[in-house]
Amino acid sequence: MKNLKMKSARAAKDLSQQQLADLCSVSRQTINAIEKGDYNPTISLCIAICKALDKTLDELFWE
Amino acid sequence: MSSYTSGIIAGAGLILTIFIVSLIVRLKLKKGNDHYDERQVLVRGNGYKISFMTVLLLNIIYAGFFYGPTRDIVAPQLVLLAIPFIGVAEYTIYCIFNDAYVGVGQKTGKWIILILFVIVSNTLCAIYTNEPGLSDNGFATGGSINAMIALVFGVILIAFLIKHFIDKRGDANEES
Repeated sequence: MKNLKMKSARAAKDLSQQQLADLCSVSRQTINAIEKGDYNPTISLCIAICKALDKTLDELFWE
Repeated sequence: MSSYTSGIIAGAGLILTIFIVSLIVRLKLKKGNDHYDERQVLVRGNGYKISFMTVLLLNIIYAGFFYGPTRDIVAPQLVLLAIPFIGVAEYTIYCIFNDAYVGVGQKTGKWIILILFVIVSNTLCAIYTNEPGLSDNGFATGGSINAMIALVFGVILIAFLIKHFIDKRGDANEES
C-alpha cells in the first residue's frame, strides 16, 4: 500500500526523494520503495524520516 | 626457487600490499560517513541466499551427472571455478536489479570504469597467454580463468547498462 502521507509531507517540505534520502542517510531508491509501499522500513528508519520531515510516527506511518 | 615461483610470490605480495593500502585509504575516507541503508542490506542478504543455493545446486548437479561416461566432457577444475563465478554473477545481477549494488553516496560511473578495467585487462591476458586451450589434463589454463573473469564482468556490465536504461525510461526516477 502506498504511503501517501509520507509523500505529501515530503512535498510539503519541498524536498525531493534524493534530498530526503540524504537527510536519512539512505539511497533514493529506498525512499521511493517506502513511498510506493514496496518496502516496510524498520522503526529506526521511520524515526529518521519523521525527524527529517518534522512529523510524528503516528502522522506518517499509522493507518 | 624457479623464476615462476618467485614471480608468483612477488605477484601475491604486490596484490596483498595494494589490498592493505586500499583498505587503509578506504577506512580513512570512511571516517564520519555513517551511511546505512537497511533495504540494501536486506536485498544483499537475499542475494547471498539465492546465489548460495544456486552454487549448492550446481555442485550437486556436477557431482551427480559428471561421472561415468559423461565425466570427461569438461575439465573438473574448470567446472569448480565456473560454479562460484556463476554464483558471483547471479548475486551481483540480483543486487544491481534491486538497487543494492551501488552503496549510498557511491558513483555508478566509478564502478563501471573499474569493471571495464577488469574486463579489458583479463581479455588481454586471455588473448596473449602462452597456454593454448581452456583446459590441460583436467586443469584450467590461466587463459581460461582470465576469459571466465572477463565473461562474468562483461555480464555484470551489461546488467548495469540494462538497469541504467530501465531507470532512465521507467518510473524508478519519478518523484510524483
